[in-house]
Amino acid sequence: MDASTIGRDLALDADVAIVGTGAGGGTAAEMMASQGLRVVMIEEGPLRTSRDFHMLEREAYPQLYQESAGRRTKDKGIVILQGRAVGGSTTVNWTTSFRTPPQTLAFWRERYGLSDYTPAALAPWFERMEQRLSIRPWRVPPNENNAVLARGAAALGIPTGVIARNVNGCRNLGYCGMGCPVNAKQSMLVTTIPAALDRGATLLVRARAERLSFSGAVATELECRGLDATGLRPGPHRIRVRARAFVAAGGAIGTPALLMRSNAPDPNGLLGSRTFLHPTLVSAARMPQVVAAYAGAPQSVYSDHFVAGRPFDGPIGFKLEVPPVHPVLMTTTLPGFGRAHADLAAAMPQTQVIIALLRDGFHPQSVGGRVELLGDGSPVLDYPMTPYLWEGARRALRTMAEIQFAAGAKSVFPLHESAQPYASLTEANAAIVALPMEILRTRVVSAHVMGGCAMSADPATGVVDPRGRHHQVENLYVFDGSIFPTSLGANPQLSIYGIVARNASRLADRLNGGL
Amino acid sequence: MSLTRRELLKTGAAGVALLTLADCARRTSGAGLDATQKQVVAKIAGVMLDGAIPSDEPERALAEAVDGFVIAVAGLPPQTQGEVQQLFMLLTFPPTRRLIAGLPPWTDATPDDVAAFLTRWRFSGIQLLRSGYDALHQLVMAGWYGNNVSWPPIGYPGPPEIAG
Repeated sequence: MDASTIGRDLALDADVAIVGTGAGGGTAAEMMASQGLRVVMIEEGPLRTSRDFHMLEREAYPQLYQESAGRRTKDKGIVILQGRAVGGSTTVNWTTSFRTPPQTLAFWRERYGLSDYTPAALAPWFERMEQRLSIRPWRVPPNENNAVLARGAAALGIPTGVIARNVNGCRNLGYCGMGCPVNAKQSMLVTTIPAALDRGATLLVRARAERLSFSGAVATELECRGLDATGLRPGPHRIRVRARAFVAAGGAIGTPALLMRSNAPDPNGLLGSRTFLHPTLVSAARMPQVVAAYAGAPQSVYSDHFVAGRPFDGPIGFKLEVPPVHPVLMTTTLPGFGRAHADLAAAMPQTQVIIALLRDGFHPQSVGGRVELLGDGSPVLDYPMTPYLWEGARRALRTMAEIQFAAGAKSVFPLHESAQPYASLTEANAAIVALPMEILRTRVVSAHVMGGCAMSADPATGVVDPRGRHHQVENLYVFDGSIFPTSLGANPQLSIYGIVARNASRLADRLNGGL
Repeated sequence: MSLTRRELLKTGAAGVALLTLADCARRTSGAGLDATQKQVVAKIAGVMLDGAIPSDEPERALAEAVDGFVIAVAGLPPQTQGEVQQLFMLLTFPPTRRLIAGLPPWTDATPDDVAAFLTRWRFSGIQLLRSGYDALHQLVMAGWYGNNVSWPPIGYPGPPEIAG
């Protein structure tokens, strides 16, 4: 049902109302519907399918991403890539799948009392979702962009691994970020959501969840607004959804914003705080050979050498991966303009790019950002970059340059407004040491938003309990990346699938047991 | 032109007050970029895409770059479109254009003037100006490189054919 064309107000009744259809909402919808519960899904973005996916950035970014893939932090310093369509970010992600790192789970158990968040207790849920979504290590040789990371790291004795991907019949095209045109990616769009619909669930698209109402400690109704034809502005019609349980799964910016607009109880001032991004640094190399980083599975090689097992009280760790390189993504990210920029762009086929994802949220000097509401009720994330993070950024840029030169790069460009391509590691290192680490000088991006509704056994340190239930509202659940009390130190989709699968199954039992 | 942070803040405050009035007047005339703003985009895009715009039909290519910019703006949420409007107010309202952007009237601005303005904002000590530059950079680049006419010069073959 498209809420932009309903032509009248609506009132719906359900057992469970789920806001958002990404990794969390999609997983929850299938679990609930398959247990015989009446499910209504509310999605702000449009329904787009493989027929609409033409591998064109100019179509995909406005249609499938939050803010046309130009969402930024409050000070505009960090670009945030997040999906906004049926399937959420799973429709546009690069398919990289990691279980939650054991070191991260240990931190959560110790600091947040999440005692049943052990690798062993979660393993069956990860296995279940890995089967459901065909997640397995990529068996095809990596594209050259990934291979350069592997070769450069190997030359320096840095171990790398092969990434597991949620694909079935993948044609190795390289356009996962624009929506899979052949339905190989096992996103929520082609798996759990159609399954939930087959079990009688209702899907409302282009409907913005505006606020929940409460009666004491119970959420009673969700008020939504159909959007206009552009999908950007509110239209005339309201949709009221009454349900026994409400699930917020709008992502780590959307979910805190919904709860804030609803004036949900927040006795400890935690809502929207401790939001994490894996702030990501970028290093571009010019290789002697053709890299063609626009073709082939975008991410198939990673290195955890600078993150796994590193102490949380020391300097920040970072995970190394590569991004796909397409014209808009590349040219908006490359600093500068005019001839210098055009020359960089003209080397696209030889361009190799590594990214370093900082593991934020574990150190006292990395407390993340805060979601705020603007005048029109839309959210913005205030995420200050701290000296602790900048130290890691500088170290990451050096490491990436070292790997790229070890793989034979002719030049390396650490992406920073005051940098340029350097022809040797000595030159690059000398420059990186001196670059001013400040926002809107150093390029910082993010594709992983986490936190803001932290889960904790103790209401003093968490918005939701270990089952994802709101500490103060007994029938309100948060089933998305916003429950993570820190960042993950790994791409989030599989963590969301596995943890939400367990929590959604518990909620289904609870609703079917009649409380 | 030199402008201290303090002067900027003073000018900025007055500028913002005037811009707010201008902005209110504008709201009634609907969204989108008007003809004057498109001329500004053409000047900026001409400089930012120097070396990228093909030399055979530069005027037509520049017109496509401007169209791409306008389309990119139209895809932004209302809040961000408002910010883009404020940026254009600042760039076209004579007192702020002169004091904050350091530019002559746009019709008189040479490519060198525009390049110097972009460079000042790009490396400014004032974060707000850097963000203004970055917004222009992002919209110009997205508007141009989303268009397949920009691809041959950068060696991008375009998306593959999908065999049945």
